[in-house]
Amino acid sequence: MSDSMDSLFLPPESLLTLDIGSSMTRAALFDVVEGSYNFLGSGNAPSTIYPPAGEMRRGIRWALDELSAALDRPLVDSGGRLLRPQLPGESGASHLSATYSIAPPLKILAFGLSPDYSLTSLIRLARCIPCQSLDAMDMQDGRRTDEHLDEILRLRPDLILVAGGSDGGGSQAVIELIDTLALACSLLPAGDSPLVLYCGNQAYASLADSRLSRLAHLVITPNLRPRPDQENLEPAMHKLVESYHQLCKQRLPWLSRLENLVQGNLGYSGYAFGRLVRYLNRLHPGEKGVMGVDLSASAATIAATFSGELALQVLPEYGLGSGLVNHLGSTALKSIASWSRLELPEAFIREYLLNKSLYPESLPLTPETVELEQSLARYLLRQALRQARPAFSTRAVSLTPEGLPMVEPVLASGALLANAPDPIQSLLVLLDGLQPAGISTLVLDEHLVAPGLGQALTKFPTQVVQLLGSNAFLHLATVIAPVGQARPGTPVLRINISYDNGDENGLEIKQGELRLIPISPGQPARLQLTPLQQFDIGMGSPGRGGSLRLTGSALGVVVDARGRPLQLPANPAERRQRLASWSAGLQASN
Amino acid sequence: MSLPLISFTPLARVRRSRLLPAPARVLVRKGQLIEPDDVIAQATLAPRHLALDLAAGLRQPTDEVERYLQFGVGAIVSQGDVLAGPVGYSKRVVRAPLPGKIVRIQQGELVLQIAAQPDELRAGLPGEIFELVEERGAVIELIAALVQGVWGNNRSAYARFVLLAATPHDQLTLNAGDERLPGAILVGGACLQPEVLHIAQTSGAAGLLVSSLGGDLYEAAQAASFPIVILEGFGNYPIPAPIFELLASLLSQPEEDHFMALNARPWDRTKITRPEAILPRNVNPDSGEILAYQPDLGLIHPGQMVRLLGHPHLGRRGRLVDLPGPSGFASGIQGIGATVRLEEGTDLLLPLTNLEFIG
Repeated sequence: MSDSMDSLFLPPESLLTLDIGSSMTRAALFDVVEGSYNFLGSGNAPSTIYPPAGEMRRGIRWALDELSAALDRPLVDSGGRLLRPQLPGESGASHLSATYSIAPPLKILAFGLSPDYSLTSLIRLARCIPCQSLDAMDMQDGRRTDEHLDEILRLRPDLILVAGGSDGGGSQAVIELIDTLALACSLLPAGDSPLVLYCGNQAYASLADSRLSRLAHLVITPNLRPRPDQENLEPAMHKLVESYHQLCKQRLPWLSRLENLVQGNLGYSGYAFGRLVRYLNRLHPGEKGVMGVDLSASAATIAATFSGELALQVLPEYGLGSGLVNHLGSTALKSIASWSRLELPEAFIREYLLNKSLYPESLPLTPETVELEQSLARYLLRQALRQARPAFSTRAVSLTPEGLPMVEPVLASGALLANAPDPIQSLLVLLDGLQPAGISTLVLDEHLVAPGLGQALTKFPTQVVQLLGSNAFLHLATVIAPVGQARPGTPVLRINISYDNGDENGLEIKQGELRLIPISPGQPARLQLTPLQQFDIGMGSPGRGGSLRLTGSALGVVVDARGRPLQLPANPAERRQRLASWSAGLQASN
Repeated sequence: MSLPLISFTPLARVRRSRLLPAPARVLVRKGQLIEPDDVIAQATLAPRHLALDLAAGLRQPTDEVERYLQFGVGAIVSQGDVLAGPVGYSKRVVRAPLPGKIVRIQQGELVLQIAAQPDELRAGLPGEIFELVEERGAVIELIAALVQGVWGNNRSAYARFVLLAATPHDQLTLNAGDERLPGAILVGGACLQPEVLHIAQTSGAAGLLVSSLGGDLYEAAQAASFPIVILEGFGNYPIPAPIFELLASLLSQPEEDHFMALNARPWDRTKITRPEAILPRNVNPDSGEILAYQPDLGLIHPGQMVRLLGHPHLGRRGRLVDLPGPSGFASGIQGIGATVRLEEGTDLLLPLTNLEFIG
């Protein structure tokens, strides 16, 4: 492929998305079929950005070749240039967008005024982008100026996030914070100037500018704590992601070539994923939020939007790659093993995690390792959610104190979920890992196109809106999870299902039960839900039911009355038997 | 397509950069022959500072301190120099507790950058300076065998090595009284017992190059004071036969071939750096046997030697024979397939991502 592939924005409507990941490069093509946008296919190839190949074009070319072969539709000409269609249905692609999840190893320092306010917010802000290390210090941590100075010089951060004070207030401490940072920057070797994001009291923004702009690459953002009781991360997040993109381009020169190729429509995949989740929330306004989870080799990404407010947390320590070495303790290994239907010795899990951390792209080849990876996914999702939960908007409504807030839908991405041998396994991983409460829909990004579409939103929103309701995503199931207290076996929910053909079906769900009600894709149905025992299904208050209209999906409706939080039997044999019976029960109903 | 590359070469010209991460004084010249202990470059990597409260020392208000200063910002001071004062009847002064440079005076506080001995970067390898890197260090070239691994604990050493395995499958065991251990890099099979790390430490071994490491030894290996490099992975895996044969054959050569630079730097995928052992070879530089070491660009083509990754095939080796494209595997997982002919002659269909090249 040649860099001369430019000027691709032509009238026909085909959209090609590229995602350059640390292990795989993916290409996906979307086009108009019978009047509406559809996903046509995708091609994957190992990424070639790392040595020994050390550049991106080969990986892209091979992914395009695979896509082209799968669709029997030429995408590049014999010279490697992308074909540009003049009429609908012709070969090639007219619109392009690209995302990247490969990240240069970044060292970030969060430097705040107080540990409970500015520093907490800065750490949440830092989590919007991937980092190799995240250190934190504050002006109240008991260290002297010289100790702060030595720490900054020892760390040599690539990026320093600094904040303190609420707008309108005055504080000598903010001036000291800026001065200490300015002194540290002046003592760093020439050429090592860090990127500094000042997100503090706006009254001192001009002081920060005068003291820091000659010593560092300074970006000033709105205060992330304009009032002591108010956190507003989004404006700073936007600036941070923009700055991160610039930093990535400096470190990875091939990114600039890719950006030219896609006429600027290039972004970091985690943020693009968050953007899609926020957009979904706009399409589904209401009390419920929208949740996105992406479990990949580089990180677990949690994006949650409530009332339009996006919380994005990129958590490398919960990814399926090098982050796995953080979960080698006995408690973590026991917790991973507790999700497995098979008996997996701790030593086996430990060695598997260590080897997987070295080669995260390797695929499981035995029933034991598939089971282990899915157990691991449950554990990582639970841990990542626990970590990300405090960053969610205060407008999030939960049926349980620590549980997943009410969301509609949950968009799940990541190769482990998308490549599961069957959708029931993906469903169980999501049910156990996220433990949704009330009523929600689980949507699987089975072709791993969510980040690409999130990026495409900036230029091609109409196309993306159509794709959200297309075959681009797999609607796994509607989940109904009643919450309350009752003995196992006690009826907790009555469901009457009416189909358009007049058929009706009545069910009673007992506490502890996991039941699948198959409703074919596209088949409309109406569910009358009556909670018993004052159970809450999120229809207003405990014991309150109502009517739910839905259309069938890959698996239909799953009623999860196993309790929130889900308590597994303490006895290992009994626990494995219980997990196996839930899985077998769903398989039998499907 | 491209896959990770793990290098193994018995004889080649190997070049390695030795660089400091900050502006440094480079002490070698191009073409200079160097030994492992020679210093390549010097720099003060993390200077220390001391904040002195002049206002408190002089018992003066903050805004009065300036008139008593004896030095300004940028001044180099010696230990005992009067920085501020004298003040009052008792002639109070603040002296420099250490030699250094004044970097800030503000709000009655003086910040002194303490003079320190610069950090030194040693060659770590015998060889010739092939190229200087301005203000950072140099590139060293030598004729050597190169053996790369998968994991290292970020330390390095140069020492003679001893092979403590009679066959590739022997697990590594150590005797505390073994007089071969002190100062040597110990090469062996799977290291599965905690005592091995303990004896290696207490006997003063210089390093450990093992085929694999028990998962429960990960933290101890990470914390060990000597370098540890793992060739295959975590668990019980033998030494790859070609590596075993190379090491055994070197030990039958004259003593100059019994040394090893063990660099347990972690694998960095963004560069071409992996944990590795470099074994300098005493060979005539003009010998036709020496390869200019140029690893394959990582492009996939049938015939390439590959190493298999992931349970249950980790550590096996074979030759790539076919790329059948999207494939389903016995576990039900889908992926891009690759057919590999194992050393024993059987063909195996595997995900392409479960392979790495041996280059």
